[in-house]
Amino acid sequence: MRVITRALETVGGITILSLRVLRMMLRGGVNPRLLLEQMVSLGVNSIPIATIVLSFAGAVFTFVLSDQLAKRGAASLVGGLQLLVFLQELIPVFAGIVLAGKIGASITSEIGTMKISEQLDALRALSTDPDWYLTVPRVLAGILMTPIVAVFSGYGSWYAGYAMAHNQIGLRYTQYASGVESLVSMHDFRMCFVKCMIFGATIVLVACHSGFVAKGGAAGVGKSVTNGVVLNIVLIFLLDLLITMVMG
Amino acid sequence: MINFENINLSFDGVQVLRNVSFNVPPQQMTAVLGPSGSGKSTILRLIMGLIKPDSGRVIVDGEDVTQMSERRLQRARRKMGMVFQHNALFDGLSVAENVGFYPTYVEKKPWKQVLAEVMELLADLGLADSADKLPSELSGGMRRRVALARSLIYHPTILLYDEPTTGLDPYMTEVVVELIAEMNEKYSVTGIMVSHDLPTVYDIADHVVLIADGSATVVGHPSELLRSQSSEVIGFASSWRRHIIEYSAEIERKDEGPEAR
Repeated sequence: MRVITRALETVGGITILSLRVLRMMLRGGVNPRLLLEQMVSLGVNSIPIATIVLSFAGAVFTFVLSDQLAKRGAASLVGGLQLLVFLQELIPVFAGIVLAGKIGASITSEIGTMKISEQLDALRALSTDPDWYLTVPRVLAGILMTPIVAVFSGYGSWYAGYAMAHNQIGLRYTQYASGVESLVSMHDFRMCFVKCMIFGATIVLVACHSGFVAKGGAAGVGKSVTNGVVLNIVLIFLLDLLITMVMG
Repeated sequence: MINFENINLSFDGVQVLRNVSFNVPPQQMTAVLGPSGSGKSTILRLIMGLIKPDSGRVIVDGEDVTQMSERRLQRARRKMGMVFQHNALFDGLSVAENVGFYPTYVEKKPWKQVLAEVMELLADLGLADSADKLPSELSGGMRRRVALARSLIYHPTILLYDEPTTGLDPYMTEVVVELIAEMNEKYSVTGIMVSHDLPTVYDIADHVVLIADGSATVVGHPSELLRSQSSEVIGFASSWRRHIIEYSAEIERKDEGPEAR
């Protein structure tokens, strides 16, 4: 019973926070300076790690795929299939998981620490809404920067895949890219970007909410960080399924 | 200017404040005394609207802050400043950015203008060389002064101090007390100070409100702590008797002038 109550509280809390943030965004209540800071902090600084992770994923995927396809005389489909799967699934999901671990944990610990050290009360005492100052710029930065992180990490996975295919079955770049036109459409790119934007917003909202509800000192903040990251990873897979079913 | 009317407040089923009523006179310093955990800091949070009571009203400048929406509270808080017990400085921002927070984000002034105001105030408080430092690089006394500067920069008419001298050494306590007295006089603010520190209360308070067992008793001037007939005051004063006698005598000597010594 207690688990259900806590789950409902969390869902309710995140929903209310989302609506408040949406209302503030629609009213144009975003400070450009804060937004720029968060775009650098959440987005630009996440590009290297996301690119490294997706590059390894691209290399592994092609390692498994290229040998099997070459045996069946379909080596020219390696690049196209790789791009299709990565655009629809692996780029948004892997980028989402990397961001949930990196920026999600960082946001929750920062806001959680601010809460237990009365900094959130100090913001309110200074006539400043903590959601406006902390959540709105982070959510917008998450929405804007996750697709950009995806572009860089997508390139990483594409070229890492090519390097692996070239090394394993001697595929040239024109052969590697030859299947893209027949297998990949603009719809796949759209789906990738839609997923990235929704994952970006979700990761930040869940992370901020986890920080706002932190209590009980350093141990409490640590617990909130863990809860936030776990919830984010579960939500990424759940939303991935829903978006794929809707946009499929 | 600030009136507490029959405030009742409980946390997790424990009643912290019981029918608390008192008035805070304008442009004077009121000290809220009481044992640890008696709900002294809660009084400040109620004035700021950071928490809401179970029942009763807190009237600030004719408006009941307990009934205000967060949006209206944001406007009401523009005339109030608060120095938190542990300063609550934004640890990711420099001293100048902390002090300039309100003019930058609430008044939306250009940073160049904000910085000029910040530097003038920091110079007044002896912190001009620390403008670019982070709060973690400062001593306890310096952090307290930064917290004070952050509240003073927008010239509030009401200033709330939560244990302003806690954790400071005797020298720094004296510096901060003098600073508070000076700033209160300079800006003619209504001050409310929560404190355990009797010397501080004697130095800068004009009135004392004692919170004990969830109830408030208005004492008047600190020197009247020993003369009060209230059982709560007698109970509190007995544990502080030696200090109160010492400071009452000191105050009397000061009042009588140099020839009395």
